[in-house]
Amino acid sequence: MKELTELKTCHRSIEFYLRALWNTDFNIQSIKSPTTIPYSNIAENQIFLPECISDKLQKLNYYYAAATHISAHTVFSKQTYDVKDLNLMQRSLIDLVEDLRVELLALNVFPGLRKIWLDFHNLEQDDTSSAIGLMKRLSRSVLDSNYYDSSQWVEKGKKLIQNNLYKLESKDFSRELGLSLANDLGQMRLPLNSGGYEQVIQYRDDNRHLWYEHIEQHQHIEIIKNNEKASLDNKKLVETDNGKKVDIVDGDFTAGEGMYINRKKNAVLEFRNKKNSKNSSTIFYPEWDYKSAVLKKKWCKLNEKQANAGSLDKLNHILLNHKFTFERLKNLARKLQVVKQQRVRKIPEGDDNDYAPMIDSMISIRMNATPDTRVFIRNEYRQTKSLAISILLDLSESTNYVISGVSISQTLRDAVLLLGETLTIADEQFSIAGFSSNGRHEINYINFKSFTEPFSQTKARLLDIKGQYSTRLGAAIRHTAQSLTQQNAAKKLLLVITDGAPSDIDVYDKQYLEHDSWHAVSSLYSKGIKPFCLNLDSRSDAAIEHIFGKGRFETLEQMNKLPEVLSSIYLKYGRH
Amino acid sequence: MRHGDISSSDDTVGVAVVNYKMPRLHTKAEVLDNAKKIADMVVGMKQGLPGMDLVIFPEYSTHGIMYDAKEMYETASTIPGEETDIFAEACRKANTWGVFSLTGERHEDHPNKAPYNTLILMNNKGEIVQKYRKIMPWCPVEGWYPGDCTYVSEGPKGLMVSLIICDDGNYPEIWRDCAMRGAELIVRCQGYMYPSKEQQVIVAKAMAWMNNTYVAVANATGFDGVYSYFGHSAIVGFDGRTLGECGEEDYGVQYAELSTSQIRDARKTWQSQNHLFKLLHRGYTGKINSGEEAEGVAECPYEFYKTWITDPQKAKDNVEAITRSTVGTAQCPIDGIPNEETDTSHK
Amino acid sequence: MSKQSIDMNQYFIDHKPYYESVGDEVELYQAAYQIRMPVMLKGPTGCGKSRFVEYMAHKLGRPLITVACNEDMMASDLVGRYLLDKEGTKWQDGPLTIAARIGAICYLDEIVEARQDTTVIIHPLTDHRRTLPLEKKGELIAAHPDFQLVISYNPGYQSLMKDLKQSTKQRFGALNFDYPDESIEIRIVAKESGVDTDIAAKLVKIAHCARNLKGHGLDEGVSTRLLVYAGQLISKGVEPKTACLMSMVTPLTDDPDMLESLTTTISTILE
Repeated sequence: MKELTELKTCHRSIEFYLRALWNTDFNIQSIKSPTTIPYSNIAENQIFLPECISDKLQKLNYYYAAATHISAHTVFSKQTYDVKDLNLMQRSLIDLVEDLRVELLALNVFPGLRKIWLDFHNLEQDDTSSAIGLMKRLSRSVLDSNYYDSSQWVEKGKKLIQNNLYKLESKDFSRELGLSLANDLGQMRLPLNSGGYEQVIQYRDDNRHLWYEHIEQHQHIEIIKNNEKASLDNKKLVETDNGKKVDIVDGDFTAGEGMYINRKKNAVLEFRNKKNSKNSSTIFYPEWDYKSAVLKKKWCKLNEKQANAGSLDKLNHILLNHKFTFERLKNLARKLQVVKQQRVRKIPEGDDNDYAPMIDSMISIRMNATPDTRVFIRNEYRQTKSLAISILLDLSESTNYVISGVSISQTLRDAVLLLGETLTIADEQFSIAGFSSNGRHEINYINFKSFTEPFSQTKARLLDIKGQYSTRLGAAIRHTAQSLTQQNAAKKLLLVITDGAPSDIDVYDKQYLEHDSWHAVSSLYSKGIKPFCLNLDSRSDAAIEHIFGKGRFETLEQMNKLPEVLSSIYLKYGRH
Repeated sequence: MRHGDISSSDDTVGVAVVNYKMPRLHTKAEVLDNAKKIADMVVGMKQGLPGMDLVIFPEYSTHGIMYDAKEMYETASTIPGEETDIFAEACRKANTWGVFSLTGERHEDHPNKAPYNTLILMNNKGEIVQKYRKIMPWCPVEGWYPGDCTYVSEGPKGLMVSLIICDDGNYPEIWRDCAMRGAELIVRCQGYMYPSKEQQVIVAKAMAWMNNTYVAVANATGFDGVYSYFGHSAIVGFDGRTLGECGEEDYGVQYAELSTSQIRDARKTWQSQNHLFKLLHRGYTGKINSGEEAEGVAECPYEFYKTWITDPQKAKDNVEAITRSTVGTAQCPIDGIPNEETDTSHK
Repeated sequence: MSKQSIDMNQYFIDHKPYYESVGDEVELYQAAYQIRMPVMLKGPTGCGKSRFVEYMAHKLGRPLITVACNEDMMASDLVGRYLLDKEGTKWQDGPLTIAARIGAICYLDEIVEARQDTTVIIHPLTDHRRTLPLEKKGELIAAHPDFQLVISYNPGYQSLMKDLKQSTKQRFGALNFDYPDESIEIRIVAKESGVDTDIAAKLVKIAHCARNLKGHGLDEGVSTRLLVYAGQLISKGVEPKTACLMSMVTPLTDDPDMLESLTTTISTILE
């Protein structure tokens, strides 16, 4: 039976190690498919390694060798090459030279890496009759200064590389030298064994990041997407009776019964008197009109419904994408538990003596006064639920806006997932809901998690997060406050996560909904609720500051800042 | 119809219009104080004009214009209410009818909905005879909830009276509507400001002429910090000639006696300029000469009106085609009013 | 109340401590002392804050009283308390009180560790009053004209849940400390431990790698102090890798994965 080592036994320490070396986070993921050649996604700092390997390889530190090699690519491989007009031999040699180039650069910084890599350059069974064999020898002779090879090609290659060490960082190094070496090897008429890519040294990745091919594929996909978009432009979206499905029909169509189509410019307002679906309930909320200083009663109609659950696999994938942030959050959550532990002083019974009161008591005794008998001390874990958090998500159209490659709604979803996991570990009670609006008569309030449901059973609903319609924040805050007020907790926190100023299609006064939101937020205090806002788009900081007040919001544009932001919220509100 | 004296007779209704100085008020208490001032003026005027059967105060005379929305909602009145109680006492005391402005009157769904701009006709017993809500608020400045119909009521000495307000009067339809339904006196209360002074003076006369009706205009004067009001309260005869017209003086008063028999006689016997009759007996001479029905043509020849009645959306589309499609305009944007450049997409 | 005699000499720094200045912190501190401004030293553990205070106390010729703060510390641990002896009770001045009486520099190390209700007793000493009320004793001490208060404060990751009150923070002028620059740190390690510059450079490189992990598995980076220990062990003939493990890895973490990666890092750098 073959002895196997699994990646999961060491992937965490390798990630630590790579971070120690390069001061960057690397994300190591396992390859489940039978292929054993590692590969990488340089742009995302992702390293893909085989799920398990034979024990013999692990003795040689296979995972460390592979991970450091790929990390060297990530740090030093900046250029890509066009596959066009290159034969397999040429590509293979460019690959090899590039591998050696990044390894040499890494060795300049960390000479100790040499040993890890050289362990895989064992040449016992290698012959000089195959191109692969020669390439392996060249690789060794470049890395190992004590090694001398009998092959003329290998020695020539070694010299070529050594003579060019001064321009190791130049853009054309690998292509230039690779082509030259391929020319010589080609003349030796030594074929590559197979027709495709062959791994020269076992720990090295397939260098897919070096070649254009993949990029072309990406472009291809984008073109298709654009085409789809273009063909959608001339069509209209029609609501169907069950209110869920969306049909696409061609251009002109007549207004059906009970439907009013406003053809004005941007506003694609389609009012339809639809029946409420079974699992939703309707509640009315007031709205503050700052101009007339009137709280308009029953102004907003809010429909509450439940989000649909998605697949847990996808969730785990998201967690994996943010694993470093998540690790830090878990760390934080554990510390929160420690904070909950408190030393209770000056009590009549306890585990330990509390000396200060004890001395006071002794003094009292000497003075013939009645001594205080509360002279003990005890560590106590606070059992009472002291904090209840309601998380309210803005699910409006604007969350589809993309900031540095990531849509806000995706940031939102990921942030809430991490937040939920963290709060679960910290053993806090919390609820999650989202909202969007289509005029004051249609405010959609979507429940993701109630206070009573466990997060583990509800988190898959977060995949239902999508951006649509407008942002009528005030009504949503009032509704959330309704359930939060009923929680039995010493401190109540309403955490709004939004990407911008409130707005709706039936409101033209830009100030109006901002003032209403301010009013809704202000009224929270009298209910014992503290509001806080996490703003995902710094462009709307001014409006958010108006609504929530100075120091009552944080701007979060990158997920990896979440631990800091979250802990600052805790510092402000969660401290026990 | 006569002008010059202070009397009235069984046949004539003594009508007074007042150049009331536009007040600038903020609270309910101030409004009530001002209402008392109006009430005192009614009683005082009656002393000087013993024939006065009807006294007319301008739009906004009771509340002034509340430029602050908060004050506007807070001071909106109920009708009947404290203000009308004050007027009622004055009308009883002076034994005269009165037209008073209440800006505004609380909407049925107050405070969710905007107040109305309302005018009341009160009889000499202090009863409200007509409560008219402005159909055409002066957009974009005025934020009143629009009213939806005109009224014709039997006024002092049987004279049929309709009330209209300010910008209403710029639309010939409302004059025609009132006159055709029997109004003999159309009262136009306005808080009209510069610049359109000359236009408004002409409109009063033209509408009286075109609709064979008496017109009484009461307008504000003075400067309220925002607008300057041009006065020119006037009483116009049904022949389109002014009987008496104020200048721009604060608290100027004009007075005329409007004969009920004369207007009825004219409407009965006038031929070439009997606009009310002729509108529904089109071309009767030619029809007779053509051997067709002697009454002329009654059918409405105007396509716009047909479209408006049968398909208001289409009429609206038509007018947008020759004007613009949004209520606001980007070239002179007004806060809170969408224009063609307003981004109305979901955000 | 018995009059206590305080031996001031015990608080003077005998020998000039070794300290490498990294900027204008020495001049700034001197200026701060001249106006007796309370000073806050901010920076990670073991980057030289305490050494700096000792150095300055020596330079200024003032006695130095250092208090290491901890969670269980109470106000009476700073100001003093009544003790019992065979004759009855006896007042014992706390370190802060002594410093205020004799005009020493009082250094409260890692002040965030102390509970906030403890920290507030320094307030009257840090404003125009410069007094310290001993409530239990009923005495109000006016601080000696030479007295100065210095606190150190580590705004690092582990103190996320602990922070100074704004009302406390805003009583201090602050000096920012960080690990010294590579070249200075190499010089410090070489001088303090006696290893050659080559070894010192490698030790500093290891420290830099380990500091990369701060907040990513490690709560704190490797301090300069630990580097000096490693160097000293090597000078005593301990094998470098073992010395590093003992002084720079094992004290930092109990996490086996972290231990493994740090060990590998050390072999990567030391070869």
